[in-house]
Amino acid sequence: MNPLRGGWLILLSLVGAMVLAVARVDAGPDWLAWLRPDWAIAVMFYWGVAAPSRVGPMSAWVAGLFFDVLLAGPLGLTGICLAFATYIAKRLEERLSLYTLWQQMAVVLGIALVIGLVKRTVLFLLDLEWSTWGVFGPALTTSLVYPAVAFVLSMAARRVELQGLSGQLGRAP
Amino acid sequence: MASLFGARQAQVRPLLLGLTLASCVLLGIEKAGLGWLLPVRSVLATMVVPVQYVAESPHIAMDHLIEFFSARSRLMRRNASLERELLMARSETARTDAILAENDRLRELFNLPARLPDDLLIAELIEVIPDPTRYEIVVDKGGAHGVAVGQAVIDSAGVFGQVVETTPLTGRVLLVTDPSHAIPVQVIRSKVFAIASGGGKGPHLLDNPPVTTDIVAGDNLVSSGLGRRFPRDYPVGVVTRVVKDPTQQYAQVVWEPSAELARSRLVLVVLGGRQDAEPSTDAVAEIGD
Repeated sequence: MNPLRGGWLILLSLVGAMVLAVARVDAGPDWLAWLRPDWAIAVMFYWGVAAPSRVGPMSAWVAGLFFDVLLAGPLGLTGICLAFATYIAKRLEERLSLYTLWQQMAVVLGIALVIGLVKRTVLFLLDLEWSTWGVFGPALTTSLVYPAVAFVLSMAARRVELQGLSGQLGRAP
Repeated sequence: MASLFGARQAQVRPLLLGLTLASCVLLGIEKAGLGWLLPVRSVLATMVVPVQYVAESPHIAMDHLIEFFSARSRLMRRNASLERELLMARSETARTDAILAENDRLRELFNLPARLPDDLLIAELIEVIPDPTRYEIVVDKGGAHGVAVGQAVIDSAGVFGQVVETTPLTGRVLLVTDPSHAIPVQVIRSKVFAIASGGGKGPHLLDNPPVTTDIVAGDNLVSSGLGRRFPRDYPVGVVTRVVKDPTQQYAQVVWEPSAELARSRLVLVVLGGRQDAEPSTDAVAEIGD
């Protein structure tokens, strides 16, 4: 009735993040491309907080490989970024449940900034153009969309009765 | 607090360390350009093809919707104009065929190998790599359709780019405007050879043409075929600005690609390159004339 004890929802959310990560926006000015949120971080961070027993650095790393091929980036880069995001989410799980929405967004902003910096640095070392906007833009928008991501995923998780939701954060933020 | 997390951390830390190491090894292989990861990439990329289609589906659906809801009169107008274009193109082709035949006879006189016609394959765009510092697209034709790394990609207006990676079902194309891309070109008017580099967002420049080079704004650039990666004589771009400072050794020549890079959804992959057996002789012959 509920395949993978609701784990299919986690897989589905990752596929959703992949679709949003490459969805094409034709209209609008060029700089809009710098404001594309890092959906993978938002989704993996949320699951790290809300269902820490279901996701871990290993699964995040494997999921990252798919993002890497999709974005035609170097293999292993998104993986390690997501693994750290999940690790931090799991460590902060209990503390985050006491945080207000603003504080949670600030945490996501911090994580996304560090990850963005690491990503752009690695890409720069792999002979891609450096871009400061590529660090700040996605980090900012990731923290802005995080409440929406968390809201949608928490509603869905309760509806499909995902097993292993941590008590307080199964609720909407 | 520390004791609460102690047990879990003990398991997670070595795992995290291991994953970091694994990532570093993978990135190292990538940086070294060894190509060991290509089979892995190919398998993974095949698995994400449905995601690419889903992400592109709004655009595909939009095209169909526009077609569906277009007024009959508009469609008929469009049909008529396309028919006119087809007629023009046909007559042009007929003339080109004659010229090609004549050219082949002339090449025979000079003992040059005959040119083979190019095999073209229509491919449709399914993803634009979202990183704004990169100019790459993914098309829906891959190894299974005969697409291979290094093949040129063109659209109706000119050279689009080249295939840099294939999976059985898809191919990744590096555009001529990518900063890491360069294509050997020839100025039609003066027959000067040059290399046209992509400039990303900024101006696209020719690579260090000497200040005495015969290039003016408005010159058309075609692929020269030197380097044997791109087929010859496809339009590449137009020179838009030439800055010649006599005190400098090199001129600054800005060009614009003629392919409709941001608009074409349909592109052509040139399957069998029009490979000349002796490109050097060929080049000399053309410089001489």
